[in-house]
Amino acid sequence: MTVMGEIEATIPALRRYAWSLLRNGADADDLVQDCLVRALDRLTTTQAIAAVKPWLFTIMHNLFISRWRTARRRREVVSSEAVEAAEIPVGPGQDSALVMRDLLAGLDHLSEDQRQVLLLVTVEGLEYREVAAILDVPMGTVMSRLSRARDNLRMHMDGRQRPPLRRVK
Amino acid sequence: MIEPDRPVPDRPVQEDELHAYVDDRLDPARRAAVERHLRANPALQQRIDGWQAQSETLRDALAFKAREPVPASLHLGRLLEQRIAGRRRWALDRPWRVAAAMLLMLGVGAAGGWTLRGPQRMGEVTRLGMEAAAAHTVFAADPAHPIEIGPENRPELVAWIDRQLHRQLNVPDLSTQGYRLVGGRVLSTMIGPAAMLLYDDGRGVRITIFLQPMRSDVAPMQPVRAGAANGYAWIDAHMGYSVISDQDGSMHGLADHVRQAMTPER
Repeated sequence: MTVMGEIEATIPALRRYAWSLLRNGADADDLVQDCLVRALDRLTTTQAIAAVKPWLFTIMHNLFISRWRTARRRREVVSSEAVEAAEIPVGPGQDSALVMRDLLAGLDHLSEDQRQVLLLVTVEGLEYREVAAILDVPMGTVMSRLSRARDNLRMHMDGRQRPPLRRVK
Repeated sequence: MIEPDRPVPDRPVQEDELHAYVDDRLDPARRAAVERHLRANPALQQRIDGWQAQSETLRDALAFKAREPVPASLHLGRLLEQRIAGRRRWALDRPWRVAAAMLLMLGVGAAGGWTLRGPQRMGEVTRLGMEAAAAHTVFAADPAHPIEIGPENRPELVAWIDRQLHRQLNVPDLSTQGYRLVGGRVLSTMIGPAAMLLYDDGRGVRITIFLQPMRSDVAPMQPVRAGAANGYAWIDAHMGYSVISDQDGSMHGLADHVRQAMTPER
């Protein structure tokens, strides 16, 4: 596949990651657009791109850090609940939809560092060393953040999930 | 050979390997070792089960976003077009900036004298190649409006390009190379007008020749690679040329042919 084709194929994953970080469809697509514009700019000057997906995620992560994090923080102050309720689709199977919603709410209770590592590894399927390069931290840091993210999220879910399980059908 | 029934004493399982187990990134031997370790430690098994369930739920919860159709604002062709239009607007809206940039370049050139001429030329060819690649990506891929003057008006096309670029050029015949002329158009770039000639091989492969007057007198042929666009750019007698295709094969032979066809008297 050409580099252009690989970029095209990565756009759905970029949108998913951007949305998981920002929890707002319009903001997420703006972030992805910034990332793609930056990538197209660099494409002409970068000699060789070893792997397109981690390269794009690195560009997006840096944009998120430099510009977008403040946007999210601002909105959290306004109303995080309203944004969440509006964006998470509730499909058929209400029970699993509730669990998903709880889990996404649990993600918000993780530190940003932990959330990013967990999402990049489990949802985006990136290698540990790729995640380390994207976040510009050592591998050991990635692994310890992953441990903390998983245990914290599990504790959060254990605490929240019991009441719904006892519901009478 | 590994005998599954009689395992060698296991290397102790590390925390990192528990993650690699959940994320399915272990080789079969270590995977089996982790599984044995978990069977012996029910509390740990529970913790790992929790991690696994949580990963699956997380993937399910976010899958809808990756399945959504990509909005038009994120289509690469459109972003490339905006990029070119933006560069044009940048020049039109802020002529003083272009003037300042040119003054700066001239200043550097004058101060650097002869030694700076080499790199400057290379920069010019690189920029020429970028411009040619962008034009190719936008116009050659679009069968609807790539041309302004078709092949039936070849003399008119030649005269029009000559008028726009203030230069006498010939539109090369590439039929021996398997390409026929589809037409041409004039484009504006930050440093002035450029012309693009479009050819196709009748089987959907399109190549473009990009022409633009340059400040530098001459610069050697240099490969161009930007996204799918692939080809060569060079400068000859203050004229910049670039031949671009989006095929992966080598364009060197074709570029040489175009170079000869464009400068027959040399």
